[in-house]
Amino acid sequence: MKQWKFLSLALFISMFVMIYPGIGAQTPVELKIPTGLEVIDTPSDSGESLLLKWPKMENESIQWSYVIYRSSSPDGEFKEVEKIESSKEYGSDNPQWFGFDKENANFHVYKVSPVWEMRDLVLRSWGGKEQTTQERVEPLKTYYKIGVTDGEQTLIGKEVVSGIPKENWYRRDRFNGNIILIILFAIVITFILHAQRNPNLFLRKIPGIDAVDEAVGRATEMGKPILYSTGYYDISELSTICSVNILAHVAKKVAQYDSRLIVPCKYPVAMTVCQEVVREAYINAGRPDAFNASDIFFIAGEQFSYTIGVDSIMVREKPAANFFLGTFAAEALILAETGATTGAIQIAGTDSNYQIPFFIVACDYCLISEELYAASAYLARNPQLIGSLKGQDAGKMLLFFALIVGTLMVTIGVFFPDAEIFNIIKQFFTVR
Amino acid sequence: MSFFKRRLPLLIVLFTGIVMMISYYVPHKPFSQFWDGANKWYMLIAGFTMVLGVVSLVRNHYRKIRQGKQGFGYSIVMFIAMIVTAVFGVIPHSESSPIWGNRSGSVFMWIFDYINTAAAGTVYSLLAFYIASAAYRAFRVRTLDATIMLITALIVMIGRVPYGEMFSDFLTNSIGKGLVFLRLDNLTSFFLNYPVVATRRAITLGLGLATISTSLRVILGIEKTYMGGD
Repeated sequence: MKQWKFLSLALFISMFVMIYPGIGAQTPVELKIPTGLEVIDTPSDSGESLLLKWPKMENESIQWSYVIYRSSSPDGEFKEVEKIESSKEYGSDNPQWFGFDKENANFHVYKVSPVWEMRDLVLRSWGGKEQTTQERVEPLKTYYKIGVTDGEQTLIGKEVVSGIPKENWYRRDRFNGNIILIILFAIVITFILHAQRNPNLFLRKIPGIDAVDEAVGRATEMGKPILYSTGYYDISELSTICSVNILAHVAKKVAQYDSRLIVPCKYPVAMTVCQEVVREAYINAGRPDAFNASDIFFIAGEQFSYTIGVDSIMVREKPAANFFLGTFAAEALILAETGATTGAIQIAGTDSNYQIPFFIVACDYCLISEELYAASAYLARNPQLIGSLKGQDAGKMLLFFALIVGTLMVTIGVFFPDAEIFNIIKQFFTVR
Repeated sequence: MSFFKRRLPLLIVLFTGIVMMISYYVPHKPFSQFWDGANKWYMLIAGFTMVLGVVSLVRNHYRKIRQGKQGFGYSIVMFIAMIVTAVFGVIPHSESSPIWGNRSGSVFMWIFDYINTAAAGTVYSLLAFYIASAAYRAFRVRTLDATIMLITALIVMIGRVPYGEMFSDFLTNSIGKGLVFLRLDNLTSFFLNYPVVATRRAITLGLGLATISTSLRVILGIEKTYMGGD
């Protein structure tokens, strides 16, 4: 009986030793103070940070953490600013700064912020108290130390390093984006110049834009107004600018057909721009007298207040045509479904991926993403604008080619892990 | 007049566009400051333009009341709400009169929390009903496309809920482990991770190119419809 008990106990202990990684798997490694700490200016930044670099220690345990201490003077009090797991933050994780050398896996790198010279800023609210806050002036020379801890014991190094961040003149980490941007710019400009010489370029049909005439004509026949929304964002967004461009064309048609255009706006700046654009369109159509500035008005800056405001216009005025062109969020379906229940012909267009399905379902025509941006050029039929669209298509072909080549190279790279060329290609297409 | 109305705005757009583009790649002063500075200026100007919005709002609703248009009662409610909220929000908060201002415990914050937020939440919740009606319209089996969409949507909807997983367990146990790829949760993950992501990325790539092309048109002054005229 005793033997069975002994055997069971031995079996239990051996299983525990096998399963539990801390026992039997490895003996504890002696904690050592890290040496060789260096401080370097962070490349490609605006002078707001420094990089601390230190070599990976021999027998470095994954249970250790490095501790970074910071002070504004070499003899002052060093305060702990960061604790980093020893298995993380290697030089090889940052090829944008250190390249693709294999040696980069042998040192740790961590970005730290310096101590800043601060100045007081007094804010005086109207009728309220004065409030003092602080604002950064410039970075000071900052001193760093490094230590290591295993959770129980902490060893702090004696080495003290110092540095002041500097401003850099170029974001080297964005070099890839810069090159691609220059290439795409060159392609678009080439096609614009080409279109000036050869204006009869083919442009595929966009049914949603072709339906503008139909929608305006229907509204005129029914004697009902047309509603136009420029979306959720202010005029600072490109989608709103594109929507305003389309509005100019719609307004011109409305003026020619002698119908009524209602433009409820979510932002006062967008409202002012819309008023100006519609006024100009009426003047260009030879109908300045028909322009009514009060039909382009501000509803509310709050998302759902605006939504319910536009909904109530649709229910009360029953427009014969609704245009929802711009960036939309959760209000997209609420607007489009309300419009559908009033029986209006609806033309929508948005660059928000998540709202496109809603518009496709609830509207008669939908401009999908880039079509919204192309619509103005499509309507204007200006050779330069059409040329830019053709350039865009050529850029798409280039990206398509890059996708195929990139996918092939990365796939081949899996079989040749030592070949640097594949890593370089992969990193070139990494967005930072 | 043509200079101030046409050329000067185009020059400002050209200058601002180029400098903003450079400041994305050059982190040194003065470019690094230009980005933040321009955004701060925009916020300031946009704040002042709120006056334009209020003027438009007042004029629009006053006209409705004066003409006795349909729903003019709501315009009266709008005026009362606007004046009450503005008065309670603008008068500064103090220890002796905590109901004023826009801090916690003030009337302004009470209006915001218990009227505005509740009303916005109500409108947002309407979305559930609109999704149901939109789904009904989309999933009516009339064409091959609609049928494929209906089947895919059914798989994704059932695959995302625990009952789908239970149903899949039952099927796998009764038919065999070899058909594990046909489990509804696996099919759902497949649809969401591959065809949906591929389509979305294609749209995003096209949008990125369109943004570059349109920005270039605006910066170079080729596209100037937003300034009025052709």
